[in-house]
Amino acid sequence: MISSAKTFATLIKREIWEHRGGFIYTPLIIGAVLVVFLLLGAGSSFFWQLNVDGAEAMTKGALKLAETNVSAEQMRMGVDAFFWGTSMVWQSVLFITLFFYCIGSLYDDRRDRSILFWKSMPVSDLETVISKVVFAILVAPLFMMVGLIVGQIVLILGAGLLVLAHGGSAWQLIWAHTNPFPIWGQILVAQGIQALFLLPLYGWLMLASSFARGKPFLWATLPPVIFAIMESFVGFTTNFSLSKVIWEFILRRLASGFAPITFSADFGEQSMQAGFSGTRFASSFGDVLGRMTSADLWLGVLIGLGFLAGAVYLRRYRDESTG
Amino acid sequence: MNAVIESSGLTKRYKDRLALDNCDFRVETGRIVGLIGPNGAGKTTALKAILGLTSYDGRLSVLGLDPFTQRHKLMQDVCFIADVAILPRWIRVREAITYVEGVHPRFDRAKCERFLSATQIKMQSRVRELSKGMIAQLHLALVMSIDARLLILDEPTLGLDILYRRRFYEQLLNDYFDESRTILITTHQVEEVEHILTDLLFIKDGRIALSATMENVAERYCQVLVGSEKLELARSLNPIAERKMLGKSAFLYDGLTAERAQQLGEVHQVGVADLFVAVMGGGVT
Repeated sequence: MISSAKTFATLIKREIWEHRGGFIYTPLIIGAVLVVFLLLGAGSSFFWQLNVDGAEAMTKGALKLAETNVSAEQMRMGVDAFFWGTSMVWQSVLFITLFFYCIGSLYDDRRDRSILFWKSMPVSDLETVISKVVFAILVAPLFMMVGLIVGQIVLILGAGLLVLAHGGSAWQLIWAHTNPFPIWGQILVAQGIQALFLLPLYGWLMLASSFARGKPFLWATLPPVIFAIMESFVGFTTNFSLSKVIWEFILRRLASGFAPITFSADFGEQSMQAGFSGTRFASSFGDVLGRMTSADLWLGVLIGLGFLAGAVYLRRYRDESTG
Repeated sequence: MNAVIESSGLTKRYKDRLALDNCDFRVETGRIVGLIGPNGAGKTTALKAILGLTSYDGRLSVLGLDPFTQRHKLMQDVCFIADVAILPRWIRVREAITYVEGVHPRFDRAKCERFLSATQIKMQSRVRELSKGMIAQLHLALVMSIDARLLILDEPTLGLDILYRRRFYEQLLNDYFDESRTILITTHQVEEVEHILTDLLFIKDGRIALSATMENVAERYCQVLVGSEKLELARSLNPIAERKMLGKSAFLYDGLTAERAQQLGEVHQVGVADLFVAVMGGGVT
């Protein structure tokens, strides 16, 4: 059991030290990259204005047109879409980073033998695994939120300044309609629910990480693929439907990893074939919280806990030595 | 005396072979025990069993605990250095200290910083930037700052140059060891540890081949340098080893009386390495 809060805090610190680059610097770098794109866009538009007669007047005209003809409601929706849209960059990068974090979490220290150092300390394997899960579902998303909030503030200020530079009214076009707090709040809550929703995925990856004696990525990804091939053979003859349920369970989670706020989307058979075209943005806390009531979510949590128990057991009791 | 480690019938079977075969041994408090054996003799398996890293058959008690099922509790009182390469390479020296301080209730940070200030190791360095010798120093500094009852060293100086090896054992003896602590060491470099050992445990093919204190060994075994004129006599007294040395023959005896030995020739104390070769080599060569 958790021997003390101090031990647990230390284990979390340990994860942060090891993964600073992936989870602390990356969200900030994403913000910087998006700002660079914004500047490139701005640069090219200034270049266009310098080289094309009347371009400046056109830009000014377009901004004026927007100021007079676009309703406040539409403006607000546009700005909101900007916040939701750019947030997807952070959230998908976090998901990819977490995917690989989980695969390495219980394998890397066995590969470099530092597990012998960790195991020489009075820390149980249960505590170790819990600290890694908490890092993945709580700590890493919080660091992402910090990067996201800082990045989006810089972006929205920058966008406004560009409008000003072109002689438009930044206030009327952008800043007056900027209210990111509900969006950030929803993303934060969605991240929490997302963590529960993705627990079976994280659990599976960590189980593979704990199990693999080499190539944990293949152990994590090949079994489902082999399963898919086998079930396609079976499927021809029996029209076996259980596998479809399982696939939907898995694919919804993978898709949700890249777009956490799209959980209320319909992932029926058709939309899966169409590349998840049925997604839409969540627009209220109600939508976000609505997912808490789904049986699928809690079934997944149970499955995830089962995988994690397996990961703890392997780390605790398996003898890796060859002699 | 209190037994720190006590085993009876300790057996570990891997799929195709027996790594430990019915081992009985006892390690008392305040001793420095050398667990010595050739590669594959079962040294590492024995250490793993003691550290609760592997399951086993038979009875094994470490500080009164069952190491496999009570491992977490055991690690409060046991420290462990496997060879030099196990500190995580990404960690910074400062982080390693903070980590041990955070998880180990008996760690003394000031002590550790004092040990490190006597070295060239910088707080902000990463382990991967340190030389092998410095990594060993760091690990030793961390472990010596923990007030543990049993310290287990598995080839702690493998791959280090002689300066670091000497300093490692000197420090261990001067700054760490006392009557309340026990140290169990495995190493190939027997010559370097023999002067600090108080007990010997030889292990061969998974069995304990010899278990004795150094005083026992000095009483029981002797090495005699015999001139060519007394060779026949020397051979008739059941030596456990014979080898040529500086034109004479060196015979190793188990339980030969001092008088008998002196009649044969020049009597010497037996070195651990010679004894090891004699016991493991299986007789006269």
